Amino acid sequence: MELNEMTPVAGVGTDGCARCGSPAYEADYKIKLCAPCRRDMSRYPVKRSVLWAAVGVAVLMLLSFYRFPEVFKARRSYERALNLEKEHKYMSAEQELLKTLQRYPESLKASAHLMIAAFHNGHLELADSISNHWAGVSSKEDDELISRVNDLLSSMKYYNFEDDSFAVKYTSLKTDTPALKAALLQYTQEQPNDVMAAYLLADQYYDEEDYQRSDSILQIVIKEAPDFHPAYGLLASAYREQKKFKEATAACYQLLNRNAESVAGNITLATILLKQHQDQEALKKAQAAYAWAPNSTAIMKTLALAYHFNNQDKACNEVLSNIRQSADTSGLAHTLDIIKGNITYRD
Amino acid sequence: MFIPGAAITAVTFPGVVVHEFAHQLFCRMFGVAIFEVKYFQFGNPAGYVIHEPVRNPVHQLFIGIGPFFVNTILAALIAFPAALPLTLGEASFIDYLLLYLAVSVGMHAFPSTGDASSIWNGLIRGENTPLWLKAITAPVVGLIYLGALGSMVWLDLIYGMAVAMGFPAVLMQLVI
Repeated sequence: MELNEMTPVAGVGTDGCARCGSPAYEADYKIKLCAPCRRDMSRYPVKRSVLWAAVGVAVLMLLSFYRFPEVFKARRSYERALNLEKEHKYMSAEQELLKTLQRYPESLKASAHLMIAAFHNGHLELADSISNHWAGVSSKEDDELISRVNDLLSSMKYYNFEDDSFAVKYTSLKTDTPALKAALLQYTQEQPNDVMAAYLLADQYYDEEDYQRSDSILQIVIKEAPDFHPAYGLLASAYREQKKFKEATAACYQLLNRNAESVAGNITLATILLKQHQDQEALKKAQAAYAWAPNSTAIMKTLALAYHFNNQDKACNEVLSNIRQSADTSGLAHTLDIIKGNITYRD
Repeated sequence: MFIPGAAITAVTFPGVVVHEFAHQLFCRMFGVAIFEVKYFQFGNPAGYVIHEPVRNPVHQLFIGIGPFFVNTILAALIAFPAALPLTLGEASFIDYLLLYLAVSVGMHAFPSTGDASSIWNGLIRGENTPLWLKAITAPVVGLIYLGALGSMVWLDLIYGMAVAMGFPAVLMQLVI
């Protein structure tokens, strides 16, 4: 509160400064004070205790500002990630959240959002490690976020066989394709709701070029488990091989609506576009996918094809060289055959 | 739950100190003689600055509403680095301490009814106050009284929290 006062000051003199008695007081003021006295009185001393308290606060603020750049970057990354998540751009969101967690590795909120992003990006090991880290921790902070994480945990079960013993059998039969298919057929009859098994059976049919059977299984899988993302890419590929480009594109966009930065969605769409001679668009999609996952051989192969069909031979050769240097060179021969014209890739 | 105003003022005393300091600062800026400053006391008023009648009515207005600017800016400055980790659930003890200070300071940004009374007497009733200044001052005084009324529904606390925590959140949205 501030109060106007006519309080007399010491040394009152009727014809001089009320404080020092000087006759040179300033006119137009209700209280007669000379200029030096007025200036002096306007500089009323701040209490020592207040000054010390201010110094204390300043020290705390200095400490706070010292770590400010790091804290600011972490929070900025977190806010960016939340916005990216709203736009379903999970690859970029994941990268931003990893930056936040470098500064705050124990942040439950950042971890929960990272788990969501990792799940949508198919980085299931990362999502799983986060869920294990926070298992049993209860929080009343954000009901909506926790509910989303719980939904996601339910969806993660689709990525495993319902019967653990079959997982062992499946691993042991991996190199014996006919036996593996027989086992999958028998298991899916016994466990018709096992999403993972149904998907792998559809994959088997796809490899055998029985695309119709593959897509009919995958349509059921997507209906039963819409959060099982690998099914969309395979369904789109099955449609593509049947030259059902409209359906294939729609399947890709179903996935891209869930994750606009889905590597599988973009790369499958790129191949569908290449088949339809929309080479420039295909290259854009392949480049986008490559930017998110530069070490993926599958992406590099599609990128090489996209460069090839866009007549960018130098870029194509660079990508092929990168594939040769990578650990996984599977499918390289097939890609080279397409580029050399030994295999007819499109009409 | 009813909490006596005196208890709230006592808990948020750093805001009272800054509020009175703001009045003092503006008196100093305009060369207005100060007779007494009470930064904080248990009583009503919790603090005050007694100064000579102001010659320039504009100065009176700024001395009266000075705490609104000083407290708001200082609260935002104190809170900003401390509020950032709060959203992530990672605030430290120092962060919480600074946030308490910021909310306290922000809470006392509103000029008091005593300030409004001084502004009213100095400007609206002042003989030398130009009409345009009276036209500006009247709604300002009205707003101060509305603010005082609003404190009954924790408007001052809401304002303090908005400055301390809402402002950094809004700013982050602008810079990302």
